[in-house]
Formats: sequence, C-alpha cells, structure tokens
Amino acid sequence: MNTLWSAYEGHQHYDELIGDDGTPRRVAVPLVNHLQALSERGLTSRQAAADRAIMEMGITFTVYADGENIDRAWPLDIIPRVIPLTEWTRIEAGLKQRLRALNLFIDDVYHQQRALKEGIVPEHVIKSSRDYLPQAMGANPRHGVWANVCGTDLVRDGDGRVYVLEDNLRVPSGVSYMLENRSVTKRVFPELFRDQRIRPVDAYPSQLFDMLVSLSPRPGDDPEIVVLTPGIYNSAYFEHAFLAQRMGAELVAGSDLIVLDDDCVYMRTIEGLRRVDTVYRRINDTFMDPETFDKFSMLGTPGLFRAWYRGNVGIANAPGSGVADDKVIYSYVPDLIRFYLAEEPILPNVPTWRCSEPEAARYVDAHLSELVVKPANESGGYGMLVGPHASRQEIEAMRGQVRANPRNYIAQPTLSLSTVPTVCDGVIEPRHVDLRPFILQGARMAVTAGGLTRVARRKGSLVVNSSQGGGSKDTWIVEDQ
Amino acid sequence: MLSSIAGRLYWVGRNLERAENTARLINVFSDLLLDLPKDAPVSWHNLIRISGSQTGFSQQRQTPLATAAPRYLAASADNGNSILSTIRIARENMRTLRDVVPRESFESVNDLFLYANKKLGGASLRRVTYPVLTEIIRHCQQIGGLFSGTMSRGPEYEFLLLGRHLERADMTTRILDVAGELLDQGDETVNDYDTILWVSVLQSASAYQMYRRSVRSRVTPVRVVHFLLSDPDFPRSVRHCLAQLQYSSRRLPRFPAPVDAVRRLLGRMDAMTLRKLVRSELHAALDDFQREFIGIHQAIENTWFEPYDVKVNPALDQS
Repeated sequence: MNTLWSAYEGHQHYDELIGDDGTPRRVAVPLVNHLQALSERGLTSRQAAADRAIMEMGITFTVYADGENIDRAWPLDIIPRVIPLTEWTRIEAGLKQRLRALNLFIDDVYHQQRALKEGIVPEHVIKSSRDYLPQAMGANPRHGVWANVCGTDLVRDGDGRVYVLEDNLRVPSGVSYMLENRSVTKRVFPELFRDQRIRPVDAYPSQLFDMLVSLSPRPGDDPEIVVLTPGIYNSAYFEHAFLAQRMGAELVAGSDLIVLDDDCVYMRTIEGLRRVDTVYRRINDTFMDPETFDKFSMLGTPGLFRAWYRGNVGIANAPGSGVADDKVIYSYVPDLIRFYLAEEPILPNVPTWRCSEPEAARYVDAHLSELVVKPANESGGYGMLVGPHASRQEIEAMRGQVRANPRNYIAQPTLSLSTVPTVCDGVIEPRHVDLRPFILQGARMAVTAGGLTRVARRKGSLVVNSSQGGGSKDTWIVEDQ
Repeated sequence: MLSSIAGRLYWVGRNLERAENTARLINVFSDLLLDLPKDAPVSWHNLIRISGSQTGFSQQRQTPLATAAPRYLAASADNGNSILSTIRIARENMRTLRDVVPRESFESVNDLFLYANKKLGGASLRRVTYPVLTEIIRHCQQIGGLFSGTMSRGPEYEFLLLGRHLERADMTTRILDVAGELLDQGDETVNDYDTILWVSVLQSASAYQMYRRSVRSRVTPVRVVHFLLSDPDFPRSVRHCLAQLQYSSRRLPRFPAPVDAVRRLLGRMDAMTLRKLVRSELHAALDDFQREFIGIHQAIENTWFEPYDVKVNPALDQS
C-alpha cells in the first residue's frame, strides 16, 4: 500500500472495502487495486474533476445561513461504497417486505385498526402520533397503498450485520443525488464500469413515473402527473426540479393548482385549466391543504385533501402515511411484519427503548451517556443526542426533555457504523457511512439498486445528514458470482 | 405551460428592462443637470417622478439630493423599482426558471445580481457612479442578446418579450411626460436649454443616433416626441413596442383580449395629431397611454396568468 493509505493500518470498525486482515474484500478488489495504483496527484486530480463536474452540472442543495438561502455544491466523495449483489438481493427482499407490512399497517390504522385491537401496537401510540390524521379515516388510496415512496436508512454495525435505522415515509429526499453521484462517478472511473458488472441506477425516474401513473384515478388516459414543491427555498428544491424534469412532469407550487366544485384538481396553464391525475407531493401533510389542515399555510392548495379523499386524484405519499414514520412505530415494525405477513423479518431493527415504557425509561435515564436518543417525529438528524459524543449540558438538557415528554423519545445503543475509505485532505481515511435506498410501491414494487450512501466527513462523527455537513458517495451493487 | 411560469418570464422581461432603463436615465440625467444652470426648474425630483416613486422617496432623508436621489433609484432596498431591487427580483424568478431558460442566461442574470449587489448593495454606498451603471446596462443588453440568440421562439420567449416591450413603451412615455412638463412653462431659463434637454430625452431612450439618422433636421420637441412615440422602426418607440406586443401575443394561445387592447391603443395613436406641442395636451395624451398600458397588462394577466374566476367558470378541461 502506498502512503495514501497509511490511515488504514489497524482500524476499529467494520470497513465496507477493506477486511480485518487489511486486504480488500473480494467484491472490492478491482476498485481497491485501481485506487492503490493512483498517486496522490492522481487521486486529488480525480476528486477535483468530480468537484468541477458537480459545479458544472449545477448539483446543489440549499442551506439557510446568515439570513440567506445559499446553494451549496453537493459534496461527493469519489471513492464508492461497494455491496455484493448476493447480499443486496437479500436486503432488497427485506426492504420490500418491510414496506408491504408498513402499508398494510397504515391502511389498517385508517380502517378497522386490527393491529390496535389485537394489542400489537398500543392505541395511545397512534392517537398521540403527530402525523396521525383522523381526517383520513376510511380513505381508500389506489392499491390500498399509502406510502408510495419510502427512503429506509440502513446501517452496518461492528458485527457486519445490516440494520434498519429508520423508515422515512413522509417526503424522503436524496434520490436525485444518488442519480447524480452515479453520473459523476462514471466520468471519474470509466474503466471500472467497463471491467465490472455494476448495477445501473438510472431506471428510477421511469419507475417513479410508472408508479405515479398507477395512482391515477383515470386509468387509460394519458395521465397528468405533477410534482408539488413547497418552493425554491426548500432544501430539496433541486431534487424536486430534477425529478420533474426527468419524468417530464410539471413542477408546481400549491398556487398552480385549484380544486373546483367537482372535487377535481386542476392546474392553471396558459391554455386554461388542465385536470391533474396524480400529485407527487414534496410538502408535508399539514401544509398541503389550508382548507383541511393548517389554515395559514401559504404553500398548499385548498381542497386538495377533499379531492384525494373522494378518489379524484392520487397523492403520493397519501396524506396520513406519516403515522408510520414515527420512531416509536418503528420499534413495532418487526411485530407488524409477523402480524400482517406471517413472515419473519428479513432485516433486523436496531434495538430500541421506548421512553414511554417506565422500565425502558429508567434504563435510558441511567445510560444517557452511552445511548443515541431521538425525537419520534423529527428528520434530518435534528434534536438528536449522541450520548458518547455529547457534553454534560447536552445530556442533562436531553434528560429534561425526555422526562417531560417520554412518548416523544426513543433510545438506541450507539452503533459502531461501518466505514468506507474517503478522500480527506489528500489522503485516504475511514469515515462512517449509512445507506438510504428508495422503495416504490404502487401497482408494483421497485427498489433502487443500492441507494444514497451518506458519509460523515468529520473524523469519528456519526452524523451523515447533508444539512449538518455530511457528504455522499456513489453506491455500487456489484455482481459477485 | 403553467400560468405561473408564464408570469415569471413576463416579469423577468419587465424587471431587466426596467433596470436597464433606470440605469440609463440616471446617467443621462446626471449629465443633463451638470449642463443646466442651478436655478433651472429641473431637478432630481423630476426623475424620481418618472420612476413613479415620489411617495417612497419623500419619506426618506434626502440630503444632499444629488447623491440621495440616484442612490434611491439605483440601490434602495425600500424602493421596489430600484435597479438593485428589480435585478434581485429578476434573479429570484430566474432561479425558478432554470429548466425553461438557457443555462447561460441564468448564470448571466446571477452574475449581474452579484455585480450590482457588490457595487450598489451595502449601507456604505455613497455615490452611484457612471461606470457602474454603464456596466449594468451592458450586462442587461448581453442578457437580452443571450435570450434572443439561444432561446427557441416558443411561448417562453414570447412572454419574456411581452414583459420587455410593455416595460419599454411605458418607460418611453414616462420620459416624454417629464420632458413635456418643462415645455412651455413660460420659463425662459429652461427654454434656453431646450436643445440640451431634448437631446437628453433622446439619449435616455438610446435614441439620439437613430433620431439623427432618421430625422435629419435639428432637434425640436415636436419631432422628438413624434419619433419616440410613432417611429415604426426605432425599437424603443412606443409604436414599435406595441407592434411587437401584438406579434408576440398572436403567437400565444387565447390571444384576442390582449391583441385587442394593443390594437385599440395603436388606433388612438394614429388618430393623434402632433403638429404643435401643447403641454397640457401632451400630458393628457401620455396619461392616456399610461392607462392603456395598464389595460394591456391586465389583459395579459387575465388571459394567461390569472384567468380563472373559480366560483363561476366551469372547468375547461383539455384532456
């Protein structure tokens, strides 16, 4: 190994590319050999080429800083994360199983509530969930599917096993970066794509489109699909525009849509009103429709919920899906898989303490400095405590919050997230990663080949969110047989 | 095409045109004031009035006028029509239109904003200088050139042009209106400087050279007014702008109302006789024009941007 790799002598975590004996894992051999043949200059010039491509392609995300919204270049590390196809096939089956069960659960919550009556999930957990929408009771979205797009966060612990960390069922983002990461990485390492069989990821926009078409209330017609964005100041606006463009769908704001007395949704065009069949909404439930929810929302369209409830428009994800996004519900998913599918879960959950249960709460209270504590309904890594990395004050502040509102918190052991070699100031060092694949469910199911690998760029950090300085990597599903 | 996209394109066209015109006006006016005697009844207040922002300005501290007025017109964040404000709005609109407009044009508008913000933004700005405004004019023209050289002649382009030409026609009449105020006031001081004044009027509309080539006689108020209102070939004349508005509208769906509004105004122009300029008549005529422009704007808005009276109209479903 050359000097670039000196940081790789003796590492303490599971590494995705390098085995415990210091040699590359079988599936990563061509990649690692190729990287090791690069000089320091070769490596930095490739990273620079990738950074340039990202600027040229205008791949950005929006952050709010200094009172202004700034478009930042998307941070991509050129060294990909590699997963063998055989392992991925199992993960894919586990993801599909999970989403099928979650959708059966959501449908159940808004109909008979069998799982509640049979004591699988306590009723108070549902009724107190922030994203439970009583208005959605009795609704019948097409195919009985509510969460049509799911981003499930996976992590690999020190034992080498892959765990589900959370299910994002509201408006998960990141898939456009998965696609862009691939197109940049192909430019950087074309030779590796020639010599190996790496699963392509480009099918996603058409799969998404097909799924949205399958939600149209007027099958047979050429359906009108729109992407509903909260607007240019949203951190994921780039993605909204990107997906709309790739699908050939209109990107609309709430004010572009109108619901008439016939309870159908129309968009305002220079030719007149056009009926809309499916709305891929990238806006939270309660901002969607000031008529039904937040009266003061400027982002939504009055009557959108009514049109959906009457079955005149498909909405992905369906209003109310977020009830299964709650991190307390997460802890019940293995039970839900057994209950609805009569199957054993293929992918394990991370062990989770529910602070609403007195015994668990006592344990959490006594072990805060070792645990990760998360609010039940936040995303983007906000409001989270990583015990081993937290100050005394942060721990005490969290203790107060958990005691005041135990229902709203869960705790998990601090995992030893796996690492991937990452370019850091011209040398290669291990950095922690997670993985967010995207699962679609409409008439059919589809899973991305891999997903978005997010990387914590600071040494030792476990926080991978781009809003908090995280980076990303391309993810390769490589045929290993 | 979404109505909201059409509306944003139209406003990009208007705001870029407004920024360019305001920059040119300040430059010409600064120049003019240096040539006029101190007691001439022409001041920065006239310019503030052209831009329709006298109420906003009078609420501000305004001493000395010679620096405060240009600063207000060019840089004030409180003035929604200031150069910096209009460029900022154009850039925000362009951000949402990145899939619609050529990539270089977004970058160019963004560059323009960064330049204007660097030179005009910030509380420390004391004086608005000629080179900065000239650079802004040049930049606006470059963006116009990018649009015309790289955009397909679809509805997107036509909405940009609608905004540009209506704004341009509007500004040309405002310039004439202020010049008209100084006409025939019975004030000899100004009349001595008639030529300087009316040459400045032409320069404000970038029309001096073309006027010279086309009119070939000395600069007189009536000829200048005639040239700027009804020369068919000069691109900043009201008549030319109206013809362009008509042309662009006809290339869009559901055009009758806007086209009728433009045609009505063209008809009135033809009926106007301009042998002798009387101040009050010119003012009344230009006031009329301003009202008609508002009518054209409303016809554009009602036809393409906000056409739906929700409660009354049934759906006009196309598919």
